[in-house]
Amino acid sequence: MGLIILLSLITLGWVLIFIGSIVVFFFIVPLPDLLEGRIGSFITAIFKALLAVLLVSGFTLLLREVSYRALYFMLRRKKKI
Amino acid sequence: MSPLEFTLPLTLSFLLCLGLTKFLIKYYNRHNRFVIDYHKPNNPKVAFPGGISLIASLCLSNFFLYLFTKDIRILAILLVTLIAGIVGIIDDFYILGGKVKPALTILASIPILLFSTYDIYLQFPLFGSTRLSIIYPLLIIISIPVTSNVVNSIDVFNGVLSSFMILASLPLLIALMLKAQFILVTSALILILSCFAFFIYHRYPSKIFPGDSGALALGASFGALAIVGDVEFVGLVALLPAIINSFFFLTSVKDFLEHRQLKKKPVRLNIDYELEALEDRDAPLSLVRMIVAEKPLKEKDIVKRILIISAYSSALAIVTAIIMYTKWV
Repeated sequence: MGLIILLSLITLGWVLIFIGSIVVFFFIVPLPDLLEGRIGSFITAIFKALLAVLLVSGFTLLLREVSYRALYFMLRRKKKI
Repeated sequence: MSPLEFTLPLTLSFLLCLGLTKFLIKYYNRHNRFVIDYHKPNNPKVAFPGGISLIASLCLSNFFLYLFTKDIRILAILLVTLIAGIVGIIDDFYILGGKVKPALTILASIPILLFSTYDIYLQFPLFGSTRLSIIYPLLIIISIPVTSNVVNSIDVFNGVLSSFMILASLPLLIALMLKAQFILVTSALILILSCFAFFIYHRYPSKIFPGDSGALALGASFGALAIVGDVEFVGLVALLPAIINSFFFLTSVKDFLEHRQLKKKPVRLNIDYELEALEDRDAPLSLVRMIVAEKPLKEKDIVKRILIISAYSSALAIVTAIIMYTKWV
């Protein structure tokens, strides 16, 4: 059971990578420049990077939350056994 | 590439790593250079650090490959491995600490930037590539410290690091073959063969531990190969168990700490020499704590489970490689 939960977590991580790449490819990368000129492009690139970091952080927290729940579920099972 | 140019670096990587590891075990045992393996009864002494043989075989084999091919990407991989390996050797002999070590591994990403051996068009799964001219170089600066330190974080039991790296490198090899990047395929094979030679002495029960020198060099070499080969997503999926382990640890400890600096350990050793998960809510989350959460396990069983998870992750990475690099039309 424990191993199945861990393999499911890896699968969830894999799915999140794909979802993340869809979000980055279709929503973050095509964003137009916030300002004109080279500095505008640079600022937009940094802004896009921050959005991507935010997305990765969100996914990491989601994975962590699911993992903690799985951990406590397994610890409760151990007590019952 | 002629058969000689292909086979010489490969043969050298395997034989050099095998011979040098055997020599290091004898040398360290003669000079009392060892660490104690606390997970076994009688606490056996294990030779340490064996990473020097991995660094030597990876660098020398890649050097010959570079001489034959004159491919600058191979020189970049070689230098990345060497710099990360040197940081690891310093850490093995004079403990650098949880913050200095990742900071120093940033230096290892310089050769990739210096030789411009990267593609600013990042390839995404399913949808194609996109231009990241400003962000991608910044990502490279973070990537090598990330790959080297997450690989280091999984080096917790006998044989795990070397076998994990063999399994994680297979998807890279397949992805590079699908992209027809045969010089880099040879470099990936060098990585796999070096790990395999080291695994012969590192497998349970270990005769030698790689130390941070081995772990950082292997992780950096893997990261460099993924970047210069433009197969970053495949590498990311293959490293998932190590990445998840590191992020669990970082987000629960909320600091860059070495295991020896932890106030509360994620697992403890019971009198039967089995590892069991701590029920304390403040104990850090780690892959091993999750593995032993349901029942206490012996080291050998934990290693088996880590390898099952790694093999599964590698299978997902191979699927990713097939999705990304197979021409469907």
